[in-house]
Amino acid sequence: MRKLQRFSIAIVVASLSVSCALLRINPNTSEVQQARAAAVQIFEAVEKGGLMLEQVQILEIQAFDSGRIQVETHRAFHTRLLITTKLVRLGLTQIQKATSLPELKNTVTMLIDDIKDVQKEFAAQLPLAVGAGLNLLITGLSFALLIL
Amino acid sequence: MLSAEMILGAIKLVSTLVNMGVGTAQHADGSTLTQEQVDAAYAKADAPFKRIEDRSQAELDKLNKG
Repeated sequence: MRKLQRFSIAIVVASLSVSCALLRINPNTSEVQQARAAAVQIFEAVEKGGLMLEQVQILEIQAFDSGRIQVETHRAFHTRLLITTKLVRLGLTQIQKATSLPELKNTVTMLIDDIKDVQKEFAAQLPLAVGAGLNLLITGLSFALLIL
Repeated sequence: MLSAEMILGAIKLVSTLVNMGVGTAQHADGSTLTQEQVDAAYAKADAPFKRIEDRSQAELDKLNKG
């Protein structure tokens, strides 16, 4: 199970990173258009990451239901996952509202900082999958920042 | 030993990964995007995280009741 989780997380990290690395902005369009284009590309990348993270979550639940994961591990997994998804969803609403590239950049930077704070807070007890999940979000968003 | 569900999940993961490359650069051509298109992309990105949130909350509720 742990191997499969690692494999799944590795795929999510790689794909979200690649998606954000492919983000391209046309400098000949208006500021609002540039911000919208960047936001849409970030949304598409995050959506793909979310779909894969969801598969990891489903696998974890199946493993728990078949008795291969302990209750405390299961509880820790979903507690952290819940915090992470709330953070991501909040970040997405802020990205949606951004009307310029600098604003978008600030939003993404703040989201990365928030995720890093969660990592620090739970550093000692972070389950592997959620720790890696947070890392993937930071990696993917950091790639986006390089382009913005 | 991997169960059928786990193998199916892994296949879905790979399938999503393969599909991923298609949509990524679609809006990089400078075509005009409306706020509605941005909102639609936001809704699509938010959906899996909303489902994850609901599912995790349900799992925690089950644990707390049990």
